[in-house]
Amino acid sequence: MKYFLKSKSSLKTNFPKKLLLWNYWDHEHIVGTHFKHYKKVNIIYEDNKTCLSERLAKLPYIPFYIKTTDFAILLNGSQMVVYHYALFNLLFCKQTFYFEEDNKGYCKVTRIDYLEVPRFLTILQPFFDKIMRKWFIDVWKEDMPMRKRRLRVWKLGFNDFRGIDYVNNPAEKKFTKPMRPYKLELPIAKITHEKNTKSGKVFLRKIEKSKHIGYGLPKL
Amino acid sequence: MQKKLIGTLNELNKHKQFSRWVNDHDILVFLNKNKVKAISNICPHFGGPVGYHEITEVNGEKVFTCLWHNLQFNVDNGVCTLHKNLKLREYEVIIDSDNIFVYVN
Ligand code: FES
Ligand SMILES: [Fe+2]
Repeated sequence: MKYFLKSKSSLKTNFPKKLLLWNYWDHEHIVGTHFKHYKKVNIIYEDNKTCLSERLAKLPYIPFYIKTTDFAILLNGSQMVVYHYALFNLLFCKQTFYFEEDNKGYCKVTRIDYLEVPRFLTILQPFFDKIMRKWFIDVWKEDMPMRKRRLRVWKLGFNDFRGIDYVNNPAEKKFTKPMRPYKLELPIAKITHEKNTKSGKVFLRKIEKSKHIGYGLPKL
Repeated sequence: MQKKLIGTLNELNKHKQFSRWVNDHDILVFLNKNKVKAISNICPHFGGPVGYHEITEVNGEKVFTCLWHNLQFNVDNGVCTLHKNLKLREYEVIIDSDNIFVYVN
């Protein structure tokens, strides 16, 4: 018989589902936006429904980096599952994500985590729950400004790998079209990797400790 | 083109750099070689904030590192160090007593 520790986290957003999926399938942002938790990601294989990667990650309360092998599958437009293996496959964790969009185009994200353990370690359930909930919140706090900004630039006519035309070229007219439905094409094209090796695309953290002023000063 | 207030020298001295949205432009203001410069803060990759982190030096080159996926941009010319075709727009700056103005379309 198999024993699992379990944790469930859930939060609502005012973003469209496709934008949230963009965020989750933009695997390379973990060494940027989440530079405090990840220092390397190697994307070994990716297509429009799956991604196999290796990551160096630091979890809350654990003072060292753990190398994980992660296999993400988009089961359908509203559900994805990620299998994580670590410590020479001794550690196995499964995360299921549910994306529920309401009729206003707002979406709720629910993540359920399972960690396989021997029976005597089931006493760690409260600790596991605490780590996973904290991780969910910590990462969420870093993702929310990213999602907000992504939607803002999208509304202003942003094109990936090009930017906003009226910003790049002062002679261009402002983008005045009504809200375009958010578009998502998977896999997300990659241009920010350090190396393209036989075993994948390697993305490295460039800022370890940030002296920062953040997303910007408030409006005047 | 319109002349718009983006901030003050006081803010610049305090933070060494800052960004702010003005007229649907997100503009990064910083000191470079004793001159106040303003460039776009919108990374042409996916729209991330170019000026989130402070300027760092990489192989003798001063760069901004975009928060989201680490593309780096030279502070002198706004050109991406990895993809030279990606370049941040520079805005004209006017200083009037403590105020910093930029020209935006
Ligand atoms: S958005 Fe700037 S590096 Fe991706
Ligand atoms: Fe994220």
